[in-house]
Amino acid sequence: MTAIEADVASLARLVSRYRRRVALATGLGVCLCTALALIALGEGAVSIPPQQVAAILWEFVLGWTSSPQDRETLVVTGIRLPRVLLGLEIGAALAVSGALMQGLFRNPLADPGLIGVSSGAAFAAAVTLVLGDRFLGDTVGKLPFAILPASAFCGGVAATLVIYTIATRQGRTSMATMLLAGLALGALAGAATGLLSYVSDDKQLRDLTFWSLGNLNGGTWSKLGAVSFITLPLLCAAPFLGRGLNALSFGEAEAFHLGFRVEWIKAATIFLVALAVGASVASAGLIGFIGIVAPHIVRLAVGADHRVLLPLSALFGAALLVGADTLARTLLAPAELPVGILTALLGAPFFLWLLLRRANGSFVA
Amino acid sequence: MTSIVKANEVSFAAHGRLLVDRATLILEPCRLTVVIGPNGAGKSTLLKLLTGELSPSRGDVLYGSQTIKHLPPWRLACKRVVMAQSASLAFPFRVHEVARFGLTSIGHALPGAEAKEIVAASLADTGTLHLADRDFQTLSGGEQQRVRFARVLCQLRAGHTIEKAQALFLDEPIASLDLEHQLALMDQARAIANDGAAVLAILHDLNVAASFADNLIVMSAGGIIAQGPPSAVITDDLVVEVFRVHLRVGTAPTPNVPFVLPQHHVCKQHEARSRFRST
Repeated sequence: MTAIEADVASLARLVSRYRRRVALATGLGVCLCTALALIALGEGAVSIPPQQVAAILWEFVLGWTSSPQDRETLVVTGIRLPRVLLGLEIGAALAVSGALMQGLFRNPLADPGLIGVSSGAAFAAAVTLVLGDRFLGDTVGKLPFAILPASAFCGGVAATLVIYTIATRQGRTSMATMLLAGLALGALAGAATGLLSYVSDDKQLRDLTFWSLGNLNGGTWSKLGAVSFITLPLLCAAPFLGRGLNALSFGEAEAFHLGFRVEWIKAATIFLVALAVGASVASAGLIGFIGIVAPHIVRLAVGADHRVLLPLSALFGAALLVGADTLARTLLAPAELPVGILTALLGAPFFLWLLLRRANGSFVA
Repeated sequence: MTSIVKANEVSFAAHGRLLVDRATLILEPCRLTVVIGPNGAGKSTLLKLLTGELSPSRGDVLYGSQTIKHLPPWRLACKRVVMAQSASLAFPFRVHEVARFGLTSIGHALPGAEAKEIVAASLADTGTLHLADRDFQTLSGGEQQRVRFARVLCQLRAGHTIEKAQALFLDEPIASLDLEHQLALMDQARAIANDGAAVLAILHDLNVAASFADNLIVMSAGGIIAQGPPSAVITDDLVVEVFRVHLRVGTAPTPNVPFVLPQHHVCKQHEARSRFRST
């Protein structure tokens, strides 16, 4: 064996060990998702054993409708399944957006909310809830489920557009300016939202608070369809940004030296995140920390390579949100906690733990 | 001889200051060009203009017969490889992953076996193969620099499958290396030049510059003030004028290679004189 052959062999061992690790993590993620989804479908006011859930799902997928639909079937397919699927999808979208933002800002603590989507959406939702009746008269009363998400989605995407325009000069987008503009616009939108909640009546205030805490209880098949229409293509597109984000991790100049169109990567990432987070916030309100926690768990398990990080983050984000939602539904049953409270309760200490580990000098990222 | 990169009177101004002033130079295959000059002379800015990171306010940079701004980034990445002065990594990548970055754009279509061979050879050439599974962020500054050089070698080798006329740009490549690895890296740069590439390096060590350069470029205040073989360029007068230190240029054991030993800072006398005048 020549020297170079030995070198190649030792490198190949590293690569195959890494591949085994990725395969293991993927398997674990898939199992976790499936198990949590089955539990979520079975738990609740009507408790259904997993075998029966599996049987109902099997029939549903094959399109059999056992002539008189029993209560269990209706609960699983009509109420819980769309909610669980929505949870999987939003969890995946938030986690992938977090990983994308962290890659783009080259900071492992970046959050999908940095580019103004969440604050813009919250402001638009407040406008709709508080001032909606005055402008739209009865329409809001008739179509609340369509108008609120639509306006929140538009508000979120519009906020990102504004920030992106502010930060772009002569075809170059400055990420530092974008971060600061995002902070400023977030503060502005927060103040405006506060003003609106100040002038709102009791019912509006309650609706607004409930919306901003984040919950998945509006999960219906039609809502799921609308969200999927936006997020599924984005989830499929995200891994293609992996190579570019890898190159960006040494900085923009380095990515250009390696042969990437840096401005395209930045623009694509920003709008992908804006649309995906916009759709999630519009359908489920503000759900924090999934976008930070899921990518970190994945980085700890398989390292930083974005080509692996992005799809695996989706898997673990989906599992996290469905798990959190099941807890939120069952902890105080029959009452239901907003899932945003739960993700913050679990996610914030995790975030602090990360900061502490970093302060120790060990860069876990 | 045909040139690989040609700069024609390039100037670059930012915030009303002229950072590079009408620089003209030619990088030819098989030649190692070294740029020297004091801090703030515009060396790195010139390198950024030559690599396409900055667009000149005047003049143009040609790769072969094409203007640099008409080359798409991936095409440019085949023709020129850059090692920037310093770079910090945002995430815990492994060393072999960092080296493989050189293949992410132009080399991602290479067959797996060939890619592995390129990465392994590059790590071996820089003496970093034993670090392959380490977290890049935990390496010492010098080790990081060698790994980044392995990344450069990967890109050069991947680019070579597409484009034969290549240029390599190194911005202070030996700044944080120990003596052994300084010379090893410069030897490799020399070998890359001998294989047909044009190499340009910015260096601060005049002796390393003098012993490795085929062509030495001296910059001061944004302009190129001298250019030519080291023995003709490094003279007592020039060193005093440009670097503001007194020293005597001698000759190293190798014939025709100037050798300098700094003696004392020229400004001391200078300041003393001006202080005297002001009182």
